[in-house]
Amino acid sequence: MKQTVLEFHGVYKEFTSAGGRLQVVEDFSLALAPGEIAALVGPSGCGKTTLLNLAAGILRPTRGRVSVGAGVRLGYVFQEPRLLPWKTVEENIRFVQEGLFPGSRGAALRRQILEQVGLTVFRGAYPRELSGGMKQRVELARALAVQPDLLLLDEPFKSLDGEAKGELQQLLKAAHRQAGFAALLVTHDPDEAVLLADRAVVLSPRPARTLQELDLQASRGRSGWEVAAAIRVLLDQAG
Amino acid sequence: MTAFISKHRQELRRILAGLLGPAAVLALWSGLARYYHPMILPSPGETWRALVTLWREGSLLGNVAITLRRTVWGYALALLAGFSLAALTKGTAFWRALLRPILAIVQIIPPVVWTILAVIWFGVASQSAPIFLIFMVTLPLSFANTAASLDSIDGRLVEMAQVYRCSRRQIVTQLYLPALLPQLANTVSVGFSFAWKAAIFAEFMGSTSGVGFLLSTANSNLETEKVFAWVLVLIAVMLVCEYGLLLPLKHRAERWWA
Repeated sequence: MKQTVLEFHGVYKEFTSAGGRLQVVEDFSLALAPGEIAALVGPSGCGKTTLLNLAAGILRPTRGRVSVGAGVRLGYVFQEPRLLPWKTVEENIRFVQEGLFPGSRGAALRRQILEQVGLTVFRGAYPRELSGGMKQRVELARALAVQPDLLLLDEPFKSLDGEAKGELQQLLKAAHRQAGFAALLVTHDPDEAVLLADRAVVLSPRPARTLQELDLQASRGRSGWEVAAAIRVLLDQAG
Repeated sequence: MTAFISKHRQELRRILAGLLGPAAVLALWSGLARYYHPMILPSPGETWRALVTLWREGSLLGNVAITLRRTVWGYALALLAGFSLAALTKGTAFWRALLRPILAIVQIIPPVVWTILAVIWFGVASQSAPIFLIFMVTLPLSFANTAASLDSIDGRLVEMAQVYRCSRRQIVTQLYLPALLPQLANTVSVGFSFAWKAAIFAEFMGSTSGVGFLLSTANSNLETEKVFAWVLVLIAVMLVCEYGLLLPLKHRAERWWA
C-alpha cells in the first residue's frame, strides 16, 4: 500500500519575466493519502493552478520538492475544456487511453464511463456541438478513463450554472465512491470544498501559503454551512 | 416568400455582375481591335484562330505540361524545405533568429537576379533553371507561413497531451498535423499561383521549352496574336488549377476540421 500519492515538501515557486520576479507559492507542504480528496481553497489569482501544475509536472518548483508516488496515474480536469476540436467525444477519450488501454479493454471502459457521466448519446459529437457543461463533462470522463490514482481538478465547475454544476459535483462524488482515487481539487468556493473534500487547505492571497488546514471529516458534527462560513471568515481576514 | 425571392435575386445579380465584367472587357477589346493593327492589338477572333493553330501544331498541351511539371517540382521542394526549416527551428529562438534575416534577404532579391544566376549556373537548356527560380521565390513564403501556423498551435492542448503521457508519435499525428492542415492547405493554394507565375517568368527569361519560352518566341517573331493566345492558355490553366484542385482541397481541409 502506498503511503502517499502526492507530496509537496517546502515548495517555493517563483516566475521570472521581463517585469521582474513574482513569488507565487511560498513554503507549501501537503501530503495526500490514497483515496483522499483535499481541496485547495483560496482567492482567485493566489497561485492555486500553479500548485496543480506543479503536481502534474508541468512546472518545476524553484525550491523544495514535489513527488508523485511510483506508478501513480494522473487525470487532470482543466478549468477550460481542453478537447481536440477535430475529434469526437469518444475519440477525445480514446486519445488519452491509447498508451494504457488499447483495444477492447479501452473500448469497454469508455462505454462504461460514457454511460456513467451520461454522454452515451453524445459520443459521436464534436466539442463545438456541445454546451460548456457538456464539454466539462467530457473533461471529467476523459480524466476518469485513464483510471487515475490521482485526479487533479482545476476549478472544474467554475463556469457552469447551478444545475449543471450540481450534476457534475454528484457525478464526481459517485465516481470517487466507485473508483477511490485521490484528488486535489482547486476551488474558490468553500461550499464546494465542504461538499466534495475530506480536507480543506485554506490558502492566502499570492504568494500562496497555507493559512489553515481543516479536517472536514472530523468536523462532520457541525453542519456544512458552518464549516463553509468558517472558511469564508479565514479568507476574509487574509484578503 | 418575399425574402426567398430577394435572396435569389441577390444571388442572380451577383452572378450577372460576375459575368458582366469579363463581357465588358471582351467588348472593349474587340472595339479597340478595330482601330489597331493586329500586330499591336489582335481581335478576339484572330486570337482564337491563333489558339486553334497552336492546338493543331500540337505544341500546346506538351508545353503546358512542361511548365506545370516545373511549377509542381519547384514549389513542392520549396514547401518541403520551408516546412522542414520551420519545424526544425520550432521552439528554438536562436535558430529562428538566425534564419529569418537570411530568408528576408532571399525574399528581397528581385526574381530576375535569380533567373540570371540560374542561367549562369545551370544553363539555358537545363530543366533546373526554372525550378531553381520557383524554389527561391516561394521558399520564404512557405517558411513564414508554416512557421506562423506552427506557432498558432494551442500550447494548452499540447500540455494536456503531455499530462496524459501521450506518446510523441501520437502528439505529432493526432494533434500537430490536424491542427496544421487547414492552414497548410491555404498556404499551398496561395503559393501555387505565385509559383506558376515564377515558372512563366523563368522560362521567358532563360529556357528552351515551356509556355514562357513560347511566349517569348511569339514576342520576338512579332506574332502578337500568339502572345494573346498563350495568355488565354495561362488564364485557363490557372483557373482549372484554382477551382478544380486547390479550392476543393482547401474547403475539404476546412470542413474536415471545423
